[in-house]
Amino acid sequence: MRPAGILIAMAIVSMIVGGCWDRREPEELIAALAIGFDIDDEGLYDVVIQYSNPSTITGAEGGGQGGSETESGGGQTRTFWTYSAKGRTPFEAIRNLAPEVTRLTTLSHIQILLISEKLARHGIGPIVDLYERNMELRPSVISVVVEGDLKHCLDMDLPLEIIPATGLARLFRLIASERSMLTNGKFLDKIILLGRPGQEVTITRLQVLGESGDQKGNGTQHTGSPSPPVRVHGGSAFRGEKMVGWLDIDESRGWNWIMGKVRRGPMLIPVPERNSIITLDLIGSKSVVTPVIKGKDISIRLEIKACSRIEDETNLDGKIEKIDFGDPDIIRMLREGFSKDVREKTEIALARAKDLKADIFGFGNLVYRKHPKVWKDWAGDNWGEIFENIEVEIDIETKISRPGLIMSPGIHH
Amino acid sequence: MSGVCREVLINEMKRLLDIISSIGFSKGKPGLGLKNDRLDISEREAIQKELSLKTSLDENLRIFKLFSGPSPDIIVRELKFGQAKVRTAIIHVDTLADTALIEGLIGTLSVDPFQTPVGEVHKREIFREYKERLLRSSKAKEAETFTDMWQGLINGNTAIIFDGMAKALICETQAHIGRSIEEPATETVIRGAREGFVENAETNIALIRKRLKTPNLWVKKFIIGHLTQTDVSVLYIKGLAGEELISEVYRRINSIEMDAVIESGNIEDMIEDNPFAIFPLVFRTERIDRVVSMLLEGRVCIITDGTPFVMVVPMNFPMLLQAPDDYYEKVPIGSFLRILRFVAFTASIILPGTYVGIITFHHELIPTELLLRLTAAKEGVPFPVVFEVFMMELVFEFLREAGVRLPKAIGSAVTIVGALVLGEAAMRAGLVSAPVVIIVSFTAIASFTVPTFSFGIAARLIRFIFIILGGVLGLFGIQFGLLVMLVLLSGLRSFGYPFLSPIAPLIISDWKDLYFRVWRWADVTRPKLEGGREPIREKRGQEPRPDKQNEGRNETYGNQKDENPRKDK
Repeated sequence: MRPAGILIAMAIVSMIVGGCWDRREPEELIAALAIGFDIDDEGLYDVVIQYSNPSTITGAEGGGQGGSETESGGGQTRTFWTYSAKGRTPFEAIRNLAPEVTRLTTLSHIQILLISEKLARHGIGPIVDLYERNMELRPSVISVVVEGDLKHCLDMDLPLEIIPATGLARLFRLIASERSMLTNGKFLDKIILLGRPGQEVTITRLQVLGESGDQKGNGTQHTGSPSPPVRVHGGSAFRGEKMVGWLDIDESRGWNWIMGKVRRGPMLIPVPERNSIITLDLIGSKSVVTPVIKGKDISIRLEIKACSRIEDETNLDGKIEKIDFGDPDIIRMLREGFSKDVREKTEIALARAKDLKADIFGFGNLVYRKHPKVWKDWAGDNWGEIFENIEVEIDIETKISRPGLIMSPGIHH
Repeated sequence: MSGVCREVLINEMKRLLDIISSIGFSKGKPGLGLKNDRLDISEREAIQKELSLKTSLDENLRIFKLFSGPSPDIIVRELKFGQAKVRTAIIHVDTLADTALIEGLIGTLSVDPFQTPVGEVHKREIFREYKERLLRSSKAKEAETFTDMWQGLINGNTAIIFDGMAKALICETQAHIGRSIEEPATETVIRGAREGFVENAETNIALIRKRLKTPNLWVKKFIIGHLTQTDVSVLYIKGLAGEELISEVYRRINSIEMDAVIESGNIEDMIEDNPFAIFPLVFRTERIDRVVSMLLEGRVCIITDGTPFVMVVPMNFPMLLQAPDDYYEKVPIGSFLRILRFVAFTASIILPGTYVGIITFHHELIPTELLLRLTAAKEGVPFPVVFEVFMMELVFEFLREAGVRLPKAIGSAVTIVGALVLGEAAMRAGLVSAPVVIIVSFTAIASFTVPTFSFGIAARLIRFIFIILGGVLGLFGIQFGLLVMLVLLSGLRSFGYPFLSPIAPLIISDWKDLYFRVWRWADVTRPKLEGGREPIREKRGQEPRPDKQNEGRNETYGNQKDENPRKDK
């Protein structure tokens, strides 16, 4: 063989050997859009996977160019299907789905990972391991802990949405994080936090609101407005891989304040002398956490900076009263109310975390990073106890940065 | 069977005998060998080449009759010159020559240079006398052989033969026949000259001269094709184009030996560097302004008679994606359009292949919502995506080819059939998914942005390779294909100049006119490789700016009073 021939042969072989593997036509595959993990009383993992019904996608949104005639034939077809299977490990459970599903499942398009409360309390270690090792599962997925029936959560009709999975993902990606009401973040971030000394994980809490059997069935919307089947409601606090308790809305708001993650949200300041409530809309926040070490005593200095603009004044008698936001006294009063609210939420969150013995704020991690010697010598070993009794000095600076141009509401004098 | 064989043999032997006798015969009476009807073209040519003009007019005319045959469009007019009544013949080819000019020539022949009858001695003088004093013609050449004479005749000139002189006088009487100058159909511009080349090489040279008036625009003419005898002219700016390049062009053109040149493509085939390259290695255009600007960069252009397509060498890759408008539009717009074209060109090559690769191998790369859509669209389509895309591209190529071949009036019918029947019906029947139709149409539109047609064809061919690569090996295959393409491209050369010139080898200074263009005042140097002999095009620092002398003075444009004294200075 001439050298040129060898070269060509090498090129061809390297192409075939290195080439992409497993050619699949799109219709042979079915993309899983949501995955839920549960554990039953016998310790078997129960996996729930939601698929979209591909043929209804174009028809359901009314566009359906070209091939819509064949696709939208039955208007009542379901837009999604949910399957579940059991196994001794999470992966076996996923593989056990195969005999029931007519197409090959791809897991790379999963939008949301749901973990049942039971499994969360049992420990999410196996799920983390699966997510780290599996090729198709993406750790950048949105993760939630479900309070209530996981299967029902994936089998319901979500108003405004065709497929619950994408709807839920959107709920977390856009709405919930914009309202700063949860401890948001990708599953990857949780995995990273798990490995950090002195920091515990929080995962968003999804509450399933009551069973309403009549909502099951077809994928089309009901004529009446059914009450929403799920809601985002605070978060869950973990200690290690195990969940130890829930955080309610106020507590998770407090957590967000401490982490400097508050972005948007209403804030109510009652003004008794005016018989009204003034609503502030948050614009942003920042927090600086510094561990202070004096001998064997560790305390935390917490500086929170928060910003908001004036949204409205709600008079309790339904009247419009003149108010001048240019008046420094009024602004000072608002700022005081604002600061008080932030302090309250922060303290609630701190108290709850201490109660659960879960350092979800990562104070320990700060000590670990900034005072590695202290951490190594004595603080690391019994951080749980230290955290329980830790003193936090809270310093809050609030600002009404945009009082607006309306100095008095638009009434005719 | 054997009878037929014998007949063929006898015929062949007869033919051989004829040839031998004709050659022998021609020694005694030259040209008479041509009488033989059995001569092959090469044999005829061999004899014709030998023939030279004789002193006797009768003999000349007899030989000429044999030389050019009894064609009625070759007109021989015999007359007697002046009062001396020297026998003269005027020969021209009908319609190639201008009759009015020939009539003028005949007029000059009626004047008598000598009053007395002319003897043998004077005949030579008649010729000289006539040529130097009486002839009214802008060009006059002497021909001593029939081949030379024919050369003149076929270009529309007129030959005058005097009795007693073994020479013909070739006088300029060309008639201009051919198409009028129009806007080239394949290279239209929004802003820019509307003139394009025509089929007549001399007109084309004149058109270039009109725009490039320097005496240093040199033209060298070759005649190629022993049957078509086509004029091939090489044009360059002396002192700007590299001497090695010029001599290389000469060498390659001189070494061509063929019977016919129908179009410049025939010559391109003979002179290009790599016959297996898909991309053109010789630039061709119908636009005069493009040729002029390329000559100004130190390139050499080759004009072939009989085609409006002029070739320019050396060529490089960016030239194919530069449109003349880029230089005539404002800089930001011109640059944007050019970048757009690069993107579109890339898309037209790899988009269908990439689509196939991603959808069959890399589902996880597609955004979820899009994947759901694509899956839904693909639902029920019985073919694999590769096949689908390949077939649709093929159908599109059919359509495009049909559109080119069909008369313009029917062309619209093809469009309707193509768009409605193939696109819509195939989709409705569920044979093709909608995204594939979108991809194919998008690719088609993208490929139309390429300003050089020949380049577009190359892209069309490569696209199919990429579809297969994408279908077999996924994005890896696309990557591999791109790599191989790049390697092959960077190995190409056009007349010794690297094809990927400012990119590989990297010449940063030439990037001013690659993906974008800079302002004319900033574009002060010629391309480094091609125009390296005289790199500086113009003076630096000519950007428009306020008059420095009067800076700071309180002057406004409207203030006419202040401006006048300054002008007087």
